[in-house]
Amino acid sequence: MLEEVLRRLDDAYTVRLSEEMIGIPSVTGEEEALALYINDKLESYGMEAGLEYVEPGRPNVYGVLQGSKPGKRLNYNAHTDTVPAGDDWVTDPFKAVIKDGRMYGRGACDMKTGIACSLNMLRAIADSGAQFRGELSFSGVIDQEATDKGAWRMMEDPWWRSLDGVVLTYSYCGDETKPIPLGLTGKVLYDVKVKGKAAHGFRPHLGVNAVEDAARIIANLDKLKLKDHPKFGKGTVCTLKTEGGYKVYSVVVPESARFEVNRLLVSGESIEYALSDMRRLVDSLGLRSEVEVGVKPPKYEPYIASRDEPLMRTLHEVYKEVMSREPLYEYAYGITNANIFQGECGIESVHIGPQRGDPHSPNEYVKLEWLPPVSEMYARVAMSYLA
Amino acid sequence: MIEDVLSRLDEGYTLRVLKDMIRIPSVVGEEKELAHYLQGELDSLGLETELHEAQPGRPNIYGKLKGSGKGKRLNFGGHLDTVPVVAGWSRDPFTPVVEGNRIYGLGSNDMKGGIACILNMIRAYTESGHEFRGELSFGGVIDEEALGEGAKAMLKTEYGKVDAIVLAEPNTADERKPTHLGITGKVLYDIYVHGRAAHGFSPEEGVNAVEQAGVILANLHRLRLPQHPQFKGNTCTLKIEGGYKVYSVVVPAECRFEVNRLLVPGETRESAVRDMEELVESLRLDARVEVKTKPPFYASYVLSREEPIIQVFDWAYREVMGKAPHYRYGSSITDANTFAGEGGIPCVHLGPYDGGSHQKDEYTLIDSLSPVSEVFALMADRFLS
Repeated sequence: MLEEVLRRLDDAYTVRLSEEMIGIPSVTGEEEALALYINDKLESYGMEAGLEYVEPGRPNVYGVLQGSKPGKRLNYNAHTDTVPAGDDWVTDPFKAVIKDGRMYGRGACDMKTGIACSLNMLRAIADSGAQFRGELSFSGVIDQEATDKGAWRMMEDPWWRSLDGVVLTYSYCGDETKPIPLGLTGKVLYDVKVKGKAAHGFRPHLGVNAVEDAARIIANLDKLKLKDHPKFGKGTVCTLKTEGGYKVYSVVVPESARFEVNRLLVSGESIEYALSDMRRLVDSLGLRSEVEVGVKPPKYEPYIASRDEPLMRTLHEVYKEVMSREPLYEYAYGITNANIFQGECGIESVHIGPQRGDPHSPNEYVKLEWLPPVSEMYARVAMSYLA
Repeated sequence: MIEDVLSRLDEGYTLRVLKDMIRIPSVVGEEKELAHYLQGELDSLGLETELHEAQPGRPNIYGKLKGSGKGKRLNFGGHLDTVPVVAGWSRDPFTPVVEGNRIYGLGSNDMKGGIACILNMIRAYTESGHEFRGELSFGGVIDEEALGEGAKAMLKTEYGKVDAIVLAEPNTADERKPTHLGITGKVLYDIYVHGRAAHGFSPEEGVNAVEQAGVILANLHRLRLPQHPQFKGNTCTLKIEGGYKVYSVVVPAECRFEVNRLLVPGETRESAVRDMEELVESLRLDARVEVKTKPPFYASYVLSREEPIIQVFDWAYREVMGKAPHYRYGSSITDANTFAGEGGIPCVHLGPYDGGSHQKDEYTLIDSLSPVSEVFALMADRFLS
């Protein structure tokens, strides 16, 4: 049965779908066109498919294939959104370009090729008529690059909440460049508001400059106390945005400024800990401004998984079979929807996908040689877990 | 005789002209109608006038009176524009209203009152036929309340070579509002920080332009500000922006901020830029930083008490007011930054009472108008003899 499936895996199909999907821009907020495309594909395989609008114009897309007998329920998950293109691309970010064995385009590794490999696998299983127990499904959710509205909505549905396992088809390829996560950091998005006092800009000593005080905090972020976890190491801190000062030009001491800082949390660092850490830092600077330290969504607690769980064990064996080596594991920096599926909802989650090339940067790419083994691993995991 | 001039000074004329001008809105950008009014008025006084389009659709107005024989050239003037109407006026800003000793209206003290005082003096001169040497002129310029383009344009004309300028800004030269012996200059730094994007979870792979901008701002106090006997420079960050437009966890590749810096005499735009570049260099940042400036730029200037026009002013003020004027080294930018700072033309500021310039319900005091015209008349007489 497995052989029938593997025989029907088609690498050219995967490449074509990847090109087509890169050619459908789906920057966060604009996921609909891609969801419609995926829905068509799932329907064409004979799966029960449909869209669920999370917000106007922004649907999740699902497809379900029932097995011949009751059993476990396994979902292959991807996010349909990408980050914006940004500047400094050598080629058009929304037109896949293949050069020297690499495919370039926004979403090439994050994560339209993961979707393409999943579709390749699902078509092969559906076409082959291979028997399995339980249920095999696909989910493409919106908004992962922002506040995860797609994954949260999916988990509100008791149907999805009761899955037994999720394979997140993200670009974690199990080698030294991106080991398979055995746990993920948490994350908090600090939202810091600084309040000064206006005065004429020629007499700044009569005011309190909120922009300059905000800058002092930003320049001292290295004084946050990052805990060192035996498995995770230390978290990371990255200022994402700042603004403050006049809307219409006038020479006035700015009385307000704000900035946002992304912080990855390791096990042992709660969101509360992160908040009090920033407040302590701010207090230590003795600023004249009033500073309000809060958080904005999204926020996640870190989680730790086990190698001993069914899906993780299945993946381990499949990886060895297909890649002829053992996968590498790590406690990873990063946030994926597994923080929600497993961290919040307790569904066993694994990550496996092609090797990544510069996600979120200009000239993002994937090495095409990864796509066939990834499709094969997806097929083998499904047939083994749902045997 | 100068008494012929003084006896023809007419407060009624000053008030009439001031009310006319208040009724003609001239918010910065919309000076044209007022320029035309003043041309009409100066024409009727027998001056040789000229409109000069300093910016498209926005003319300066000049008028001159030639004396008998060669001598110095003295200009009286100021800006035609007012600030926009701010919130909170309890009356129509463009209807002049007299209440007791106050006359209300937008621009009443800043600075249509001063312009009216000048016209009163010029009218007294022309009607009396009082003799003088050299040239007596009027200059009304646009844009003082924005970028000073009117004064810059005037410098490029024949009036850019006058020997002194008296600006009728509302400095009463008393303790409350001393007149300037010098004014700081100003430059507006516009600084671009270029980093490198990367996934925000691995910030070490990128260069965070916002955080690098933070380092510069946190070290602004290390900017080398020169010592000057009368002035202190300073800096004030006015604005910052950088980071995502639409939320995504990306190391910001770009950040921009603006810093206002007051300059002292001797400093130029180039020297200010060099100071900032040196500071940035000393910080050894990973980001690439471009130090630019944005308009407006104003040069600083300082005059000595021995400057001829200052001596003439000092004497005239004492004659009329019966007390000595108060001087200061100020930081309020006026067109003198352009005329004196850039053009090298010594300037004096004297005008009627400042009752809330730039604020709601702006007014001036009526009894402050005539003395100003008197001082102007004495100054013209002594400087152009």
